[in-house]
Amino acid sequence: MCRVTDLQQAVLAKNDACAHALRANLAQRGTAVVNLLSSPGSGKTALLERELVLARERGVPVVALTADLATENDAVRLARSGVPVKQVLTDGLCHLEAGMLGSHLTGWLPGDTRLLFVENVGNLVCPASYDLGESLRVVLASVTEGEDKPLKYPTAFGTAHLVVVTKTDIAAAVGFDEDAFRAHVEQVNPGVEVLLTSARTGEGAGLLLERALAAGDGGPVHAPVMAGPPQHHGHDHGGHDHHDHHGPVAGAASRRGAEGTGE
Amino acid sequence: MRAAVPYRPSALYRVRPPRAAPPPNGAHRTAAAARLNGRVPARPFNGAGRTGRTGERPMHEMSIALAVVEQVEQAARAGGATGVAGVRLRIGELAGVVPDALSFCFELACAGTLLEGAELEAEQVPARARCGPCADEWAVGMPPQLCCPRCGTAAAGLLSGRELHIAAVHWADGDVPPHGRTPGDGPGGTGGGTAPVPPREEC
Ligand SMILES: Nc1nc2c(ncn2[C@@H]2O[C@H](COP(=O)(O)OP(=O)(O)OP(=O)(O)O)[C@@H](O)[C@H]2O)c(=O)[nH]1
Ligand SMILES: [Mg+2]
Ligand SMILES: [Zn+2]
Ligand SMILES: [Zn+2]
Repeated sequence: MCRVTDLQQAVLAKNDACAHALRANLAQRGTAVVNLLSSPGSGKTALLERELVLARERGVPVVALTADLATENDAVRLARSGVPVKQVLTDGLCHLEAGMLGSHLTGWLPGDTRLLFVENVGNLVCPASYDLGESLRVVLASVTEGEDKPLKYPTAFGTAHLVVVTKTDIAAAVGFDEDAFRAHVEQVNPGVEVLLTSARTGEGAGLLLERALAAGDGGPVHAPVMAGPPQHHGHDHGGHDHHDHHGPVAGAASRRGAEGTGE
Repeated sequence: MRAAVPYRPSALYRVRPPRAAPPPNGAHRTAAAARLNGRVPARPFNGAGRTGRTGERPMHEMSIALAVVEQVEQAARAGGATGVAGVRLRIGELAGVVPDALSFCFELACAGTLLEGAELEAEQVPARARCGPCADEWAVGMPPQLCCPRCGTAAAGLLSGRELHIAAVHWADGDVPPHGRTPGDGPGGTGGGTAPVPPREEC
């Protein structure tokens, strides 16, 4: 006789549990994670290079961790900013998981870090399914990728707290239709902010840093429709004002000052 | 301002977290995960069930399949089951998982584990959203429309569509279900009771 057990268990429960633990742990130290997702080559590293330099000039303690399938090129580029940088080679894995991220932070993350920028593996499919304990999930798309990118990758764009358009310096050359892009973002993630940036010209420089700091300080973070229930997070009960949602890491700054780097 | 920290390329930062010492709580990877860890092939899977989207990258669904196998193995171990006939998953339309690709990966992930030969039954869950002001409910479709088709307001929430759940496990013939997990369902019972979620491994 065939026996059945109702398991009713989220497949990614382990990652979610790790992400929650990491988020709580980092919040205690006053550190907030910014998870950057995009297709390969959208300009994550280029944008981050600029933001890290700005942070350093302003004396904001930030660090960056970049994940790639191969090569340490991105870390070399980011490290020119002078902030601590770590390269993670995923050895074939197409996304970062919370447990992996956590173990890479042990013994490395400086105790006074306010923001940890994580450049995820260039890929818009699965990184969207893995919570890394971030307070701000940023999804980027360059002007060359087509205005319908948000419709092709609805889970990534739909769960973003912030959308960033990159390479606006070549928008005219490629005929980027900003209105169409915004409409598509709105369709899958109503109310999310869209920033326009160019790492080449400096358009929008500093905005990402500002938004990240605000989120890290427990400021209001956009609540994507798609990130609400019935996801297995259990902290969000829907029905609230979309512009008044406090991220799970709200108040990270209030605990800032915790010393030490041990986990 | 802190002193600049030069980037030191190298071994220090090498691939995968160091796992020399097992975590204190005894958390461990399953045989299947260990076997495939770091060796998820990038190319062979391309074109099998998912076209055009993945390019040269490894398939996401393999990670999901490994997670399923790991959890079912855990439940089996906890209850002393020795074989699994099938696993039923609920996959939301917006979960970001391609069921066909997952089936393909599942078979590979099961090989050599006590799930070897287990059937995967993937139940697809349509995504539905609800509007606050007009209480309208709609199937969001693909690509999803998350603004109310009646009044244009942003959806108040999704009613379904992000599920990625193991719904049920069919233990192989002759196996008793994991004991202590199926209230009121002792040996010879009816089966199919609701099992509490086994304790989670820590990270
Ligand atoms: N014109 C222009 N080119 C840019 C801009 N930002 C990045 N690029 C170019 O786009 C290419 C990819 O940029 P990266 O910053 O490496 O992109 P990425 O998203 O980090 O790429 P992966 O890490 O491989 O996923 C490079 O050739 C950059 O020079 C920009 O603002 N304007
Ligand atoms: Mg990069
Ligand atoms: Zn992946
Ligand atoms: Zn409505």
